[in-house]
Amino acid sequence: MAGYIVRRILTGLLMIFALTLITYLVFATVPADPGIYLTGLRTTPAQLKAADHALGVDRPIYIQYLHFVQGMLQGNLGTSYASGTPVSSIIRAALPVTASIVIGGAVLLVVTALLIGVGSALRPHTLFDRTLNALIMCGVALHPLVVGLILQSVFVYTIPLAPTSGYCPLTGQGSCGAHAWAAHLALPWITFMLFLLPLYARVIRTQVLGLLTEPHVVAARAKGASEARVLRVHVLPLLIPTLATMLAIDVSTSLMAAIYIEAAFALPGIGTQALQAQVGFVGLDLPVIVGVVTVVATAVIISNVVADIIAAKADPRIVVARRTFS
Amino acid sequence: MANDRLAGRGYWRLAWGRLRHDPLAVASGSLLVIVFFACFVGAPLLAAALGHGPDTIFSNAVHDFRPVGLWTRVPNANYTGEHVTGTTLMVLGADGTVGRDEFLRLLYGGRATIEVALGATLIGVTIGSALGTLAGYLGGRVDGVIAWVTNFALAFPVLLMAIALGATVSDRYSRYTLNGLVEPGVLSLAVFLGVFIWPYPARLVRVQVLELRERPFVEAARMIGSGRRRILRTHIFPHLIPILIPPATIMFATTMLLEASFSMLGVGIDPNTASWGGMLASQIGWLTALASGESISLTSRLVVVPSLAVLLTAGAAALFGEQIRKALDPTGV
Repeated sequence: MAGYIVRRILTGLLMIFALTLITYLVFATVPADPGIYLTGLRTTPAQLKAADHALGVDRPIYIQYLHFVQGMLQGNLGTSYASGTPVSSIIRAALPVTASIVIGGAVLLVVTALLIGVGSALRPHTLFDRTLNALIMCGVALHPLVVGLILQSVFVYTIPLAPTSGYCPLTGQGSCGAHAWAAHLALPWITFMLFLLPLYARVIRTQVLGLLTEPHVVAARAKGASEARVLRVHVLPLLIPTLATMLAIDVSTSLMAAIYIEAAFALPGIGTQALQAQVGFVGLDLPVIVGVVTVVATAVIISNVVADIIAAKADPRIVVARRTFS
Repeated sequence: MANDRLAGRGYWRLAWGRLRHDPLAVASGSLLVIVFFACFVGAPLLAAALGHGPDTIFSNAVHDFRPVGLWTRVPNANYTGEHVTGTTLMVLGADGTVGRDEFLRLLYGGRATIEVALGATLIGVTIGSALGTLAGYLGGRVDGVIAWVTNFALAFPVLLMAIALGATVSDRYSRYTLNGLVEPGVLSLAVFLGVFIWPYPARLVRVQVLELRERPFVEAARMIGSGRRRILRTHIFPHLIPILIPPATIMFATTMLLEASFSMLGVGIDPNTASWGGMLASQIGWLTALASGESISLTSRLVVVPSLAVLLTAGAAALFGEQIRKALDPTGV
């Protein structure tokens, strides 16, 4: 187990280097002049050259990358071209927002998917089951941005149940706090939940239907266990490995969906930061983008390792160490 | 055969029989066929009948920056000032301030969007099943390397880098149209999306191959001296098709949404070429502009029409795939 974790972390580090390297290579081919961030649009070539030199973007791209790696090994992600603030402080401000959306949304997703999946698995092939299934499959076709904008226009503007867009920190003072935090994030959570619900509800339904015919469930019923007990003790715990693995795989997808959810509800998360870093009139704020890429990759790697450990703890038949790199 | 009725029916025929009697499958399948015909056959026919294309601009279709509404007759005229007679029927009105035929753009846009989704799905399934088969069958170090590449592709933040990638990749390759078979920009976007969605089929295929390779019939084939290629081709591959069809339909639906996602970032198919994502993005605006707080009318015809087109087509595809899965595996649930 320990050896497995060490190996996973090492391959994970390799992945972070590969991802950031590709990011550098891709952005190296984009014609951009970050020096304008410092000088403004009205500038002379000499000023521009000096600004480029100050930012360090006049050096070859591989030197810039090695410089970035050197900084990263010391826990320093560089400074933004646009604002001059350290990337780590930009990310420290934006990450709680995105984490709130994704983690809260994931909790809502798991609860809803369990309710729907187990509910329809207990009444298989009834009208209820088939209608729910058909509706859910159509949910695959809903774009999070469109869903978010529709929810916002209905529940913020038409029927004012939710506060207008924006973010309220969980540990904020004054009008902000746990209650305001949840109120501001309720609609983003629902949007996030609807985005992944179809697949999760369907997988849970299939799994529960399969588990209900397993010998240990039949034995439990024969010994007189109530249906509620069968479900609680003999079926639901066995869903943990599947759910953990699925959630880990979807971390990357979730962070991508978060870009659209953040845009719909004007939340200042890391997706918004990455977008803002790419839409300036003058070019691309590479340090911010690479910082976000690093954060996303780290989240993906950590969640995959955690999911593997949870799966192995929940189901002793899964032997973690015998799996390959993945 | 003296008595055909007693002849055994194969796996695929049995599945087809079940599918044919499934009302949901018939409904979603018919909807897909109708959409395909409308876009690929209906669009050029309608354009010929109306006498203008999806990009023809009608100056009379816009009054005070407001496009004409549903079912309007518009006098033929164009900005070049030539004298033209007669009127044109705009079934769904005009497409915003430019003054093009929304209905024709919807049909032509469907072509581009469906081509992207189909192409990306085909590419993704091909790469994914090839790599998944290799990883599952060969195992060991090959499996390890492919697993790492799979995780790499899964962790790659495509949308975060879409703007930069769009600037470098799509512009350069959007002129490839396979001799006019597909709209400009479709091929590069399809390849681009295909390269990033293959991990999903790859994981499925790998697990399935791991299981198949231990089955008695594969062992028997190996025992009588079949080569690795023969075993993969005749004993493993046929078992992969049924498990690939349902995820392929979901990938089709997802890539339709991704096409819209890319348009919303301003790096999708060129806005002048009609596509559903582009039509939607031209109304909702690019994500980067959303933050400016411009209000959007979500109930406007120009938002609802492409949204419904995407919703119905992608939803029907996902539902159809689900019903195919049930028909292929009646013991499963």
